[in-house]
Parts: sequence; structure tokens; C-alpha cells
Amino acid sequence: MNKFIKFIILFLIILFAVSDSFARRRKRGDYFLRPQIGVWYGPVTPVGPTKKEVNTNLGGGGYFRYNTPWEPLKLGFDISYQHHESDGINELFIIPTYANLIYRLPIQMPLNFQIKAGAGVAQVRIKPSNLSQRDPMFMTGFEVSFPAGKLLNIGLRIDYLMIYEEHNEGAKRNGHVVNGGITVFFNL
Amino acid sequence: MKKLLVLLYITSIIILTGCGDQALFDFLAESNIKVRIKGTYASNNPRDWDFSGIVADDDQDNYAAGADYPTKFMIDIAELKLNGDKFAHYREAYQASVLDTDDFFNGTGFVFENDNVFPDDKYTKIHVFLRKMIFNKSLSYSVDNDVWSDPKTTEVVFNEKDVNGYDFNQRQTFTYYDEIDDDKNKNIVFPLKIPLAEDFIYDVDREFVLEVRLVIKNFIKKYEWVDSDVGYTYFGLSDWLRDIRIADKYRGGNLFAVARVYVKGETVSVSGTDAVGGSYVVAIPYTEDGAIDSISNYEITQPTTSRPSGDYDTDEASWDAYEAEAEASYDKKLPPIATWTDDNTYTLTNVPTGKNYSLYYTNSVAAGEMPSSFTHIKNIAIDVNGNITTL
Repeated sequence: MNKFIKFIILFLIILFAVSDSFARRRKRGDYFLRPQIGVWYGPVTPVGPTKKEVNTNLGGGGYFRYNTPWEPLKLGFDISYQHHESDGINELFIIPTYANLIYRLPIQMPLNFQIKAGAGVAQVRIKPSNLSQRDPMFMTGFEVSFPAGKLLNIGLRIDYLMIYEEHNEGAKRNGHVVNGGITVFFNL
Repeated sequence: MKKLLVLLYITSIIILTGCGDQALFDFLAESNIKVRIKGTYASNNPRDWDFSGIVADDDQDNYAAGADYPTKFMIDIAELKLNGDKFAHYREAYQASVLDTDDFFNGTGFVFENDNVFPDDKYTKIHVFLRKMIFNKSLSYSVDNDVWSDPKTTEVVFNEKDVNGYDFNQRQTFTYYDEIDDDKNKNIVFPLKIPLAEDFIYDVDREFVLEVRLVIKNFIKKYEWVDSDVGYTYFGLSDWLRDIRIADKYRGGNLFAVARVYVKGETVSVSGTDAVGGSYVVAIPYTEDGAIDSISNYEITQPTTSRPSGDYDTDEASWDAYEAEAEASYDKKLPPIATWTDDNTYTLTNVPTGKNYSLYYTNSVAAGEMPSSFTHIKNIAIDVNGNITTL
């Protein structure tokens, strides 16, 4: 756990150190192309084989996005927390941390539509066995938002996360969750 | 741009090192505890069905004559809990044929779906939430001025379907004593509370078998009951311990059960030729502090007095004494490991290693009775490698 916290701190330091260089690339007047920082909150649902073991709950997280040289694409870094209980004594805790590429769809509307795909690592813990480990994960998602002024955007997002364990010897299944919710993010 | 790529590169290396190699989602979905529910006194090689032992209760007016034995047994269990932990909250409705070959009655048991439990917690008891227990070949009659007529096969709902049979579990939710003493607040089958033969501490790295045995095979009787103008004949558990009379609405306190846990792969079979035919051979483990567990803890006997004939108000002292003896017997332990022998040879299977045991054979037991006296055979020690030495 200590190693993980150190990694997060290192990661955030690097992030803020480089954010300035990308902020300069925005088009004049398009506030959406600024670096963005946001939070989200909403239902987190196990799907597929994971659905049989644990139940839906509420979860949330935060993220940071900034531009790449290829304008419609942004690079995002996400971290979130979710805790699923069950009707019995099974419990599932997941802390996904991942990077993703976000593509804003070229639809000329007041709304912004974005699709995303990415990968990272999820810290998974289960009860009652009290086992925990880090697993690689992949994600894809969709987001729709509208600007409320120069600074603020409000949106809805839905992401599918696949926590990959089948590469381990003897493992027969992966974890599957769908995270949705309301998001609020700020153009920096 | 280059800075970005370098950043991504470093980040992915940091992320991808240190990933685990366990299958946590498999652990969540599966369990390394296998729960088996058996309907026999014996843990392996139970006694064959003795259908001639299924007699009519002594208090019966014998409206259903003839050698009519049940052919189907159905059990509906809502869930199991270990020390209150909902580790098996999956309802199971199991139908067994009343034959020596059925898993429920041949010493194998049926598997009950379950999850894992907390490691390092000491589990001491299991609660079995019995919804229904049904034997078929039951009849209902119209009763008018003590005249029974018009027999019909009874139907009951089992697993959301109509089946032929009678749910005798509804009759054993309380003892008759609880009913007359107005103490009907302790339902004794929902849940049925069974202490584990030994404390169970779960370990994620080992495979366990949790064996729950309900004494049903060769412990059946035929009963009558009247509910205003409808009479019933049905098969239920023997009233060897708490005598049942025809007018009793509640007939509980005769369901004996035992539960034990052993580690798969850390057991041996114990064989011998020094028993007596027509008895059970049992292995009693030594207690945790290494002492021989007293056999008197296992001697389940019938009350010394017969059931009082008067009601509770007139006969309170006799009723209290009768129930006290019955309760003391009911609270005794059943041997965790037992087998039946027809001659003097026996084999006890799945005997955990690394422990000492006292072996006994029981008195000769007729169907419908519980073993009540034990004759010592020998004491044995089984080391962790499975070597058996006589002490």
C-alpha cells in the first residue's frame, strides 16, 4: 500500500510539472481545449460474471485531462474508488487508476461528446478472504457534457472497466464493472 | 511531445510492475469450502434402509393400514450461517429417493452452494434454516365424530411446484412442551442450531469439507393428526426421544444433527475387525487439551419416565422433569465420525490426521431408535502423515 501511495505522489508531481506546456496549445476561444480537472459520482455496477457475486453501489473519482498535439485527442488520468457489497459476506473494493485517450466527436452542438479508451492498474481487494493485489485493467467509455460558463462543465459519463486476471495461471474469470454518473469538471 | 512520451513510458513501467498473480475474482465466485448435507447418522457407509422399522406411532388409531412406505423425501433449506455469517445464502430445494443409492442417504451427501468465510475467525456453530421437510405417501381424511373417511393424497408446495406429500417440518418448529408451557418463541428448526464437532478456523490456502448430517434415515415413523375436521396420516421423524401423542399440534425436538469440518487431503481411513455386528462404530476425537472426551457426553438416552398424561397445569412437576431429561439428552453430542457394521468389520473414512481418537461400537439399534450406549474398542493416534498406532 505504501508503494502505491508513493507512486501516486510521484505521478501527481510529474503531472503538474508538465501541464503548463500543454495548456499553451489551445485554440483561442475554445475553453474546452484547456487542461481540465474534474470529479464524478454515481452508480458503479458489476456486470457479467462479477454481477453474480456482488451488488451495485455508489462510487466516485477524480481526473485530470490535458491536450495532446493531435487536437481532438486529450490525454486523461483517472483515479476512483468503489466498494461493492453482496447479499452474503462477499465484498469487493476496487481503486482503478488509469490513463486514457479521449476523443471529442466532431459534432457541432452546444454539447460535447467524447469517447474514451485506456488502460491502467486496479487495486483489488476482496472479503471475506482479505486478499488484495494490483491487476492490469482496460477501459472504454462515453461522456456527454455542456459548458456552464468559461470555467465549468457538467456532464454524464459511463465507463466500462475490465480488470484483467485471466493472464494469471489457473484464473478463469476477469472482473467487469460499469461506472456511471454525473461529472463536474473545470477548464484550467 | 517527447516529454509526453517519456512520461507515459515511465508511468506504464511503474504501473505494470508489481501486479499480483492470484485469481481474486475466482476466489469471490468459488469457494474452497465444500458443504455436504447428509441424511444419515453415519458419516460413511450408513445402515441400509430397514423399511420394516417404519412403524405406526403407538398412539395411532391406525386409519391407514398396510405396509406403505415413503418413496420420496424433499428438503428445502433457505440458507446456512456459520456463527451468524451469511456464507451460504443460496436456497436449496433437494429431492431424494428413499433408497440406499441416493446421495442423501448413502453417505455422500448433496453439495450446498456457499461462499468463503473470514480467515482467522473461530467458527463454533452452524445454523441450518429448514423451510420444509416432506415425505410422500401421506393422506388426508374427512373426520366426522371420530369417523375417518374419504382418503385423498395430500399435496404441498415444494420448490414452487405442487407435489404429493406432507411437510412435517411445520409440525416440528416447537416441542410439545414449548406449546403447553406457552414458550413458543424459540423456533427450533428455523434455524436448526448445530454446534460444530470442533472449532473451525478457515484458511485461504487449504480445501475444506463441511459435513452436516441430519438423522433421517432409519429414524422415521408414521403419524396421525387431526386439524378440526381434517385428519392426516404422514411420515415424520421418530418420537424415540420426545413422545408424540395424536392430539399434539407441535411435535418438535426429535431432529438430531451433527456437523464437522475436515481438510481435504489431510484424512485417512481407519479400518478394523474388532466391532460387533449390527451396530455403529464411532470415533470420538480427544478434546483440545488432549484429554479423552468422556463418552457420557454422547450417550443419548430416552427419559426415564414416560410422558405425563395430564396437562401442564395439573402435572407441572412431572412435565418439567420429563422435559429436563429430554432436553439434557437432546443437547448431547452425536459422534462426528460414524459408520455402520453388519459384521465385526468396519472402515471409517475421512478421519482427520494429526489427532487421537477413541473408538467405540454402539448397542444394537433398531430402526427408529438412537444409539444410547457405547462399548470401548480402543484408542488410536493418527500422526500428520496418516500413520495409525493403537494407544
